[in-house]
Amino acid sequence: MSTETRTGWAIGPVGTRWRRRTAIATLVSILLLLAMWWLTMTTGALAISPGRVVATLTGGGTRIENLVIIDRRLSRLLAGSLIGFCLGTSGALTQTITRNPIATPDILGVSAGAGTFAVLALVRPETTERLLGVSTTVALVPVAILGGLITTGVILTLGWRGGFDGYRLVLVGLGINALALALTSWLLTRAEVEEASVAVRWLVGSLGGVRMGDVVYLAPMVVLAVLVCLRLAGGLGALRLGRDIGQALGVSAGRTEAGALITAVALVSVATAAAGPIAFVAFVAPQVAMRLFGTAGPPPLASGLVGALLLVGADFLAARLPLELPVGIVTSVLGAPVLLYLMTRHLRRTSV
Amino acid sequence: MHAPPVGRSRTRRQAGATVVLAVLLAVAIALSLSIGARSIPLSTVLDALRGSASTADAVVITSQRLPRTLLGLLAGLAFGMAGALMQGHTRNPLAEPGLFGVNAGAGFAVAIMAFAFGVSTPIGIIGAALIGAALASFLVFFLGLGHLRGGALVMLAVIGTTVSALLSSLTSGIVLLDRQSLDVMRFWEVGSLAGRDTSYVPLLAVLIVTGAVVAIANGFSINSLGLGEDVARSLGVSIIAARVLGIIGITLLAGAATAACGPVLFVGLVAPHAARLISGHDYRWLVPQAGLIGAALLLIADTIGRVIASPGELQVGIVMSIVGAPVLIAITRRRRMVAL
Repeated sequence: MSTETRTGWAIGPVGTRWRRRTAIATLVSILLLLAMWWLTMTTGALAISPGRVVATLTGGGTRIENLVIIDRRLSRLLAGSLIGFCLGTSGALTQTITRNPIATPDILGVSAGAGTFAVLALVRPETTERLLGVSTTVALVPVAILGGLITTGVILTLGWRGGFDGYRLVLVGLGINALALALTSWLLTRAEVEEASVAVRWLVGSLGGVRMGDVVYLAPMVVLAVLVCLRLAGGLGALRLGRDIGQALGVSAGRTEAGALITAVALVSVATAAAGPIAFVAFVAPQVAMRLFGTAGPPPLASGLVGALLLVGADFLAARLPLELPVGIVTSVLGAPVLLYLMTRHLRRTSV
Repeated sequence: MHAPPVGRSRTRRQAGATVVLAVLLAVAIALSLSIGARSIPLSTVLDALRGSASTADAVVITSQRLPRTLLGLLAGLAFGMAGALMQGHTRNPLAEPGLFGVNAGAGFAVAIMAFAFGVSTPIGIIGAALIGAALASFLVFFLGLGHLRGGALVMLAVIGTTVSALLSSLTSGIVLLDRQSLDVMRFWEVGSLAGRDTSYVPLLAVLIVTGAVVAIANGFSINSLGLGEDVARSLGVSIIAARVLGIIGITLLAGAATAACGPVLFVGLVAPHAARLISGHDYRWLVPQAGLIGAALLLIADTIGRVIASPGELQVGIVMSIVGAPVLIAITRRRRMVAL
């Protein structure tokens, strides 16, 4: 450690420099996330004192406390944080490779498409079982990922016209989004849905239905995403300077972009399989992270952290209104103005 | 070389196209009356309409299908014409009351009126829808009347859809917080002709017919405005009056139609584009033709929704999204986004 400018660490291809702003922002985000966890754990329909929460988590709770804290609040918080992480990271990856803040999986309709396929698998359990040979609950996540990839393929094919134009891509995405949501509604009318809340989950996204079982596949996915992001970080950073410069720096542009895109789609599809198409988190989190962490482009891992914070915060709000709202409505109400702000700023710049 | 079409033969062709569209609409009306959970032969439909039948089928026709068809006819006519007006004024090929948030504005105002203030009279609901539509269409004109090209045209559509998403989220939020009205609003929100209160029909009819007259009259000015504001002014068109008349027409049409069947997307997009394929850019004809196509489209979509999801039914808004989204994508894929 000779000079301040060279502090940092590196393991193989992965490394970072010590930046004070990054460290502070990371610390602040983690502390805020912990604070949201604490608030969610202790308040709600049944207020539980901090001491009892700790006791329950360490195995000394009553039956009611176990039910409320472990089965309800803990699983919802864990799943919510992981889903938020998936959404934030996937948004940052797509924003980076398209260099367009609006091109995120939730706005382009990828999450809605993944949701449509998931609902298709749910509505036709016997067909799913016959085709894939596994039960619907096992098949749900792979089917959602497949749906996300197919939807992405369709959007890219329809958006291609001798090159990608950011606007065309967004509009095609809007159309696909409307189409996917309409198809989901149609499938839901064919299903025997006992409660309207299930339908709401697949149309606007809700954490009301997540269980500890969802964490089982969300957690490995997040670990995998972290590894992929660390591996791709250097290449993505170089591509941010433009495709040509990136390649001149020795980065294989096509491979990096494909890797990032597939990771992003897989992440958003898994999140959708667990909670339905939650809007605007994948769009807002990277933009917030970029400003908070002072980076040149959307930082994938930091965006995941901010996404987790946003989703847990939005769910805290949604669950504590006079009557519980699905979290997707809260994220839309919070996220749409951000999109409007970015758009009008852009509109002013391009139209005059 | 063909001689350029002279005025009279062009008028004759346009009139012919309009008659064909009117026949198409009549077929759509007949289908809408006779097809459903229970298929009723057309002869029985006609008997029931004349009042000379009193079977169970006739009761179904007069008490259920007729009001529903009438509502669909009015709403489709209104959405189609409102879309034509918006495309004409903003010269944006993506302009339509659904995508640009006018319908969502009306829907949000209705939700506020009904659930925050507890108003449920037809006049209150329709009044709220009109105010919401007026504010939203004013906003669209304010944002959309610059000299927008290429990307900015699309931007406006994205802004409109975002405003729509925001308003409909707020609407769902308000609605979900009020459990009792949830079931009614859940269907209304996605756009449905089913289970609507028939006491609305007379007032809606008055508003939509007024709006249609305004729209058709406005079509004459849009033709001149299409040449540019300066040329239009030199042709004796009052720009302000034409724009204000346009906003009034859009408000009456989109507001009343949204009050009738919820914020349906894409009718106002598809209908004017279809009309343009048939008869070009002459807005004197395009506006009424878009109305006829819109009405036929909405009625056919509603009928399809009744058939494909039986024994239940698919709301007309969902069918319209499935039909309309590919059209949106097709417009987007044109070589260049050109201002109309």
